[in-house]
Amino acid sequence: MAQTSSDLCFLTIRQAGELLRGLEISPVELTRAFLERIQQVDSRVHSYVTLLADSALAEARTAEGEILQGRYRGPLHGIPLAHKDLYDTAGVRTSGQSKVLENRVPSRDATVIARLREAGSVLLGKVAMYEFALGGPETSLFDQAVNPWDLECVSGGSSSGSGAAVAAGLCMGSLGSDTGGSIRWPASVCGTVGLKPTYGRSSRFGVLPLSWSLDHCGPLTRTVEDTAYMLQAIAGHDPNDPTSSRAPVPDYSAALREDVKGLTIGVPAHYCFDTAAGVDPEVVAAVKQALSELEDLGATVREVEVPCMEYAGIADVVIMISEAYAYHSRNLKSQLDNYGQPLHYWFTLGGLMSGNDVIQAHRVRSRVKREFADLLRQVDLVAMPTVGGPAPKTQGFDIFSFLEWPNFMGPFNITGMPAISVPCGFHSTGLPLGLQLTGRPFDEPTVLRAAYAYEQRAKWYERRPAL
Amino acid sequence: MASISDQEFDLLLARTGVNLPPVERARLKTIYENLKPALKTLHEVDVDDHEVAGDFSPDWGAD
Repeated sequence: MAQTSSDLCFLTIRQAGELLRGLEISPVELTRAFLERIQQVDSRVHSYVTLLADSALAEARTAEGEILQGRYRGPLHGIPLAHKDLYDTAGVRTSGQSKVLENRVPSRDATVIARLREAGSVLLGKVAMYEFALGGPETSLFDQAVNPWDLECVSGGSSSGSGAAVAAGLCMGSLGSDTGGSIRWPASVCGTVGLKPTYGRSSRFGVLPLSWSLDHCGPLTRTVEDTAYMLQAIAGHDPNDPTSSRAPVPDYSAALREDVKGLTIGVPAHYCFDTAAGVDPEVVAAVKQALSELEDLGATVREVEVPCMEYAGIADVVIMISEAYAYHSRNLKSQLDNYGQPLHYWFTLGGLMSGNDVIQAHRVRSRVKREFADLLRQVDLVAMPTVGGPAPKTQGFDIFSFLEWPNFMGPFNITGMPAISVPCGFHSTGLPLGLQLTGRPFDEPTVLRAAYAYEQRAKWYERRPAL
Repeated sequence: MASISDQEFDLLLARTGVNLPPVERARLKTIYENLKPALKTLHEVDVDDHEVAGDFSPDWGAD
C-alpha cells in the first residue's frame, strides 16, 4: 500500500501498530515522516518546545531491530509520541514552559514516561503548555501553540501543545495533565480524544505539580482506542507517588468490544444546556445529537439533577490556586519577573485565599463527592459538553474569563472521577466540539466503551485540519 | 458585592509576600473582586456534616 509521509502521520496508533508488526513500515520510516511533517508544519502551529530528532531516530532504530527479531512489545512499540513539557525526561530539559525552570534538566524520567519507554514508544520531543499548567497563552518562555483548525484561535490549555500536535498530525499521542480541565479543554477544541483518568490511576511522580490533590496525568490521542493503549501503558501503582492506587488494572482495549446496551447515561441538562449562562446553542445541539446516537446504540439517556454543578467548579479553582501558591510562594517572592504575567496573578490570587476559603472549598469537595457517589448508584455515566463553546480567538483572549464560564470539567477533578472528551462535531466556525463522559472511580472501561461506541458511529476523527 | 478597600487589599497582598508594581497590583485587585461573587457562592453552600477528612488506606506503609 503506497503511503505518503503525511498519510503515515494521520494513521491511528492501532493502524500504525498493525503495519509495524507486519513489517509493512518501519519505526524509522514512521519517525522520519513525523520529523518531516514537524519541519513543514510546526512553524505555524508552534506545538513543539523541544524536538529530539536524533534520539527519536535512535529509539526508532532500536524498535526496528527488536521488531525484526520478533520481540514486538505491544501496540505502542515504535509509535512516535510527544509529551507536555512538565513530565520529567532524563537528560532533556523539562521547563514547565517557564523562565523559572529554563535550564532545568532532570536526571530521571517521570514514572509514566518510563512506562511509555518500556512499551517501546519513540519520544519525538516535548510540547508546549500554559506556564506551570495554568498561566494562559502568554508564557515567560517559548511561543505558544495555536489551534490547527484555525491558527488565530487558542488550542486550549493547559496541555496546549498536546492538543495541537495530535490534531495536526505531529505525533500519534501525547501525555497532558489535568487539574481543572487541562487535558479535556485542548482535546475538545482541537478535535482529539482526551482522558483524565481516575485520581490515583496514573502516577504523578516526576511531574511538575500545579495542585497535588487535583492533578491527573492522562493521554490525548486521535481515537478512543489509542487512548486505551496509552492508558494501559501508564496505569498502575507507583510506590513513588503517595496517592497512587493499588486498584487492579483491567484490559482497557477489551472493554471496547462491548456495546452500550443497558448503560444508563445521566445528563444534568439544567446546568449544561443553559444557553442563558453562556453555553453556545451549537454546542447544545451537537451534544444532544451525540446523546441521541448513544440512545440509538442501546443506551438509556435521562436527565438528572446535580445541584453541585453550580459550585463544584469554584471549589476546584480555590483548592487549585491555593495549593499552587503554596508550591510557588518562595519563587514568587524571589523571582517574580521570571513568571509570566497571567500566571503570577493566578498564583498570587491563591495567596489571597483565607484559611476559611480553603477549608470551605474542601468541605464542599466532600459534599460534591457524596452527591456524585449517590448519582452513580442510579446511572452508569454522566454526560455533558466538555466546554460551553469552541476555541476562542487568541487575540484579546483573557484567561480569567475562564472564571465566568459554566464549569463542566473542574467538578471531576475534585471528585477524581474518570472523564473523557470525545469529538462530537463542528461549530459553524469550523472549529471542533467535544462531548464529555464521566463515570465511577476506576471504571475507565465503561467510560472508554461508551466513548468508543459513539466515536465509531460518528467518525469525526476522520477529518483533518487543512494545514 | 461591595468592592474591597485598597487598605484591606494591601493587607491581604502583604501577607502573600509578593511585591507587585502598582499597575499589576491594580489588575490583581480587579481579578480578586471579580472572583468574590463566586467565593460568596462557595460560602453559601450548606456543607452540613461534611468534614475535611483524610483518607487512610489499609495498605498504608506497605510497598
